[in-house]
Amino acid sequence: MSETITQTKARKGRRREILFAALTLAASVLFGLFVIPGGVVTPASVKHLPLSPAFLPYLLTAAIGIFALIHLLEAIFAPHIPAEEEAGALDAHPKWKSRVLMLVALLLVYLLLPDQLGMLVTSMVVTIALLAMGGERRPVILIGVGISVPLLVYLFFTQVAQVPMPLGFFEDWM
Amino acid sequence: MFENIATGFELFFTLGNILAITAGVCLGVVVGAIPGLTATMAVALALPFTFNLDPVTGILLLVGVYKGGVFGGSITAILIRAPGTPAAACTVLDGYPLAQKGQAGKALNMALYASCIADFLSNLSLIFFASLIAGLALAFGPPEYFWLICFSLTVVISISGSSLTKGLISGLLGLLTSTIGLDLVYGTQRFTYGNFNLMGGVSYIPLLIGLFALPEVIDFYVRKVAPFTVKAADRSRVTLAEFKGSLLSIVRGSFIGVIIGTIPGAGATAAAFLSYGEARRTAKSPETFGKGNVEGVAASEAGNNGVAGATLIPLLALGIPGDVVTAVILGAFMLQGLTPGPLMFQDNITIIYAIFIGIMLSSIVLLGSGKLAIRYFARIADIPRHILLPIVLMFCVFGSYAVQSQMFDVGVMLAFGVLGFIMMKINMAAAPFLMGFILGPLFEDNLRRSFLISEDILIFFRSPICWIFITITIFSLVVGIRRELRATRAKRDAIRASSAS
Repeated sequence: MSETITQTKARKGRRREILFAALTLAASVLFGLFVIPGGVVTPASVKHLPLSPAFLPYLLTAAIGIFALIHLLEAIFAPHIPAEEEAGALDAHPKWKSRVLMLVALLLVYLLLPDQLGMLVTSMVVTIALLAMGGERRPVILIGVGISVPLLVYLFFTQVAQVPMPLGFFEDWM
Repeated sequence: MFENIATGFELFFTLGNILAITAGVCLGVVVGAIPGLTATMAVALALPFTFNLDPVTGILLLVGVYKGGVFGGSITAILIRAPGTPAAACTVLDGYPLAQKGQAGKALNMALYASCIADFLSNLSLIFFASLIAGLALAFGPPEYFWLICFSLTVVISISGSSLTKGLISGLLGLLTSTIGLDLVYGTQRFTYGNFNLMGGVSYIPLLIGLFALPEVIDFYVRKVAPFTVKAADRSRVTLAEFKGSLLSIVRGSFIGVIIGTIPGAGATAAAFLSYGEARRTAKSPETFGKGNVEGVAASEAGNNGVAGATLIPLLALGIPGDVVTAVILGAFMLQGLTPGPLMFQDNITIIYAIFIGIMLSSIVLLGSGKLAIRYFARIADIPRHILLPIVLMFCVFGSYAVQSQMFDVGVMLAFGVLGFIMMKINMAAAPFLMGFILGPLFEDNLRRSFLISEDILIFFRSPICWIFITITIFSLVVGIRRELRATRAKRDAIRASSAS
């Protein structure tokens, strides 16, 4: 039974490596064909190839492609070596999809709302939400940690480190 | 000379100087331990306080902050995988796995001992070899720098983790990321797509925080159960045997730090990775590196702290600041009416000696304040993960924003956090990416500057320094690749044998 599980894991691991290598190879080809010509402006006056702004990106992309090809061949023909992390990995949370969505939403809140709500209020909101998401149910901890820690960190950054933080709608009041 | 030393002692031994160096080191440790607040930022923050101080007191305050900041970065690198300073990124590799095993105390103490020894050796080098090493550093032109960077890049082999090809791809991706921004020679845009925020390139600190700290936060919420609890109060200590076993790596790392620190622009992060790579290359069991080997912590900390004293060599001997921190310290010297350089050794030799004595004392102060910091900071790791990680995320956001006071950097941090998480899931090491990203601009800049100078490929072979670095680069590549291939072959043979039986 355990032999079957090991073999299944090895097959899955090998498939994952082949997919990774194939995607990397495809990405390097696309990068070389479309992204570099579209993203790097090369002046006409460039005399020598190494002086061109596109020289290093092309060189690196080619190297990535070559190593991806080597990895692909390795994954197809050589026995799969399970990484330690792979072997000891814990299963994903039963509700991992909804948790990922919630986490993405909270990270977007951190990115988009400080200009409107201010950094302090945003960090309080996200911290309380993440505490609840992590399983904390005690109101004292939720509110206490969720309010006091962001406040202390905010004061440290603004008052001690002299880093001005976004105030959001508080800016009009102050 | 002895008269000058005696006057230097007299000048140094005042309560104000001792307090300044102590306060500086303590402040540096605290600020350095906060992700996003670097030693450079700490020195810049302390600069206004030196305006009304004596020259020696003011300089010692800044030097103390710098040295404390370099060590402080390792505390959070070990405890929460969030390097406080860029140079501590290498300490994550073995420090964090040790913390996962419940040996945070051991990792923190080894980091402190290695830091203090390296700092002390670096200070000695500063005092005795300042003019000699500074002269050597002046012999470095773009081709010599180019080969030095090539040699540094060979470290990627040692930090590739479970797969050499994936590690190399990771390093190349880091190099490719470093090409984003305005071209250094022609000023044309590369992968910026008109975005003003990307013109100066991808910000270093947000990338570092995102790549190392954020994946842990994401992973916690995606996994079924909390992966582990770091036990800081584990009372684990460095044994004498472990210390003796790591001593060679510490001394070697210190000298790597001294050499790298002397060369302007090379940086403590590269020194830490080089020292780590060398320790792994010469270790009896290199496979234990990256999985919680205390020697790995010692080597990386020795490398980055070895730089601290040595960066002052070109500053004091030649008046050339080797990095941003020493540029701030140079500013402090000038504010005091002093101009570092050969003339200062003639005109203000007593001040130089007083500073040297203070710098030597800073290593001892670092040991004391580091012990104290470990005791209190280590408690961070006792906090349950579900409470600690939202706070870590908050520090990540605040620290990223603090770099340039713009939300764009928070976006960069989040983007590289997601990339770091994907890399973690596909077992691709993040350290080579960082190494490539750090060394990328230096690699390209020196390659192109060399071509601009002569337009002939022979310029890369123009001096004995070039040949020395070419030789050790080839040696390092051959030895590193052969070792990795041997290890992979051994693993595959074991798998074949087990599947056959």
